[in-house]
Amino acid sequence: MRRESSKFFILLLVMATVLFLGLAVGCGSGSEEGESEETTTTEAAESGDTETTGSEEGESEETTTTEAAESGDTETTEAEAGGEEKTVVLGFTVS
Amino acid sequence: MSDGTTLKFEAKFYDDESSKDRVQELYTRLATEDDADFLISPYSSGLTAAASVIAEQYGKLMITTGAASDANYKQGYQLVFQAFTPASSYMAGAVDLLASADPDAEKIAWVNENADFALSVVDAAREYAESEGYETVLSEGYSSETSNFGPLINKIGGTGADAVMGGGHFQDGSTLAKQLHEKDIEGVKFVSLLVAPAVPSFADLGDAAVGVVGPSQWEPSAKYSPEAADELGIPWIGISGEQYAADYEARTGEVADYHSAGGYAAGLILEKAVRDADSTATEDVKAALEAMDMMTFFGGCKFDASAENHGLQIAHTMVYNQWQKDGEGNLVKEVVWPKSAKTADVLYPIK
Repeated sequence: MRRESSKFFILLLVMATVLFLGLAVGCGSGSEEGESEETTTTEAAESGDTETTGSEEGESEETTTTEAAESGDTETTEAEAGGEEKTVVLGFTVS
Repeated sequence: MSDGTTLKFEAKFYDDESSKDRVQELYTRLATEDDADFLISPYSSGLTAAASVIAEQYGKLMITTGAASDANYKQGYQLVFQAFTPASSYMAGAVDLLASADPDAEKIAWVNENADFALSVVDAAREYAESEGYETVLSEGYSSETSNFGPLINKIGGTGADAVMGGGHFQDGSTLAKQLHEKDIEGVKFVSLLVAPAVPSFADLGDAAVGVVGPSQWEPSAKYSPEAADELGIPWIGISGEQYAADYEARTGEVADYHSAGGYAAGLILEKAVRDADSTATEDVKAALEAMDMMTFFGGCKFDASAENHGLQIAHTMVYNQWQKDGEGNLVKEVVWPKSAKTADVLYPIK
């Protein structure tokens, strides 16, 4: 269960990154999504590792994929310079 | 967005410690303090049921993944949408596979974890099997913490069962498979268990894994494609399964399985819904989800929009794996059902 959950957790991070980048760059083609993931997955996974080991009883450690968001900011700026920006927050838990 | 707005993404997540109380506390926090726009479910049907209450209470859309129980979609919820094939459809294919492999098989012993997910799967599969003429020779649950299946296996041995079906989650399913192999019950020719056989590390059981069949929400070899979507007249979204599996393994060092793929698929579903809605407003995205009919590498995706089963997944289907040995004696996971997706013939009888 722990191993499954750990993998699921990592993937959620990948998924979250892809969702963000997919929304940000405004395209749905497979190759572009794949390239976008490449930019941020490692950083997101590292954040996840810290979160998993760092949580303590009764006090879940908050971890936001700030690094992924920052990478996405770059893509966003390049993709649609000058437009308004809106932050979409996606929430979930891992076991 | 069409008005020029660029959407930025921020993820908020916590360790729920596999506790329903923690899930409710944390999803409340996500909905209020963190002001999450959208939610993704925790892992397992039980935890997802707890999170769904909170999602509805605070008016937040939630995509569920890693959660297959049907019951969650009969609660009258309007904001909870399921990515997985529902539990009621989880093991029907295993019954069909048995019928295809051995028209003379008659008796099935059902042994399953006493948990929401396993109970809903097995209840539906048993009902289906009986409607197909199979005799239920044993139907018994076990605790999630069971480590000694000896007494239960002895019961199975006295029934004359042709097949054993059931299981639950990874730990209990693996232990059950291992002990079934060790006990070597005479007459049992087919074993199909929930969840565990679909996980790559099930191969750690060695010979005990051989022949065990398990349903899976997705496999890297599944043949979902833009062409398949075209044939159905629905849009194809995202990357191929092959690409996903390769990327996942390159980045994590782990072999992709349906748990991880389901998480990715949840993101694709939300992305498509936001694009279709051209909005992030809950009501707009909800309407887009209700109208969704698409295919991704994970399979089909369409939701029941009726009042009776709102949010239930109705387009995604299962594939069935069986662990076999290749020519060099290595354990390999083959897709053996449905025929249209199989990569190998089923190994039958199991020994």
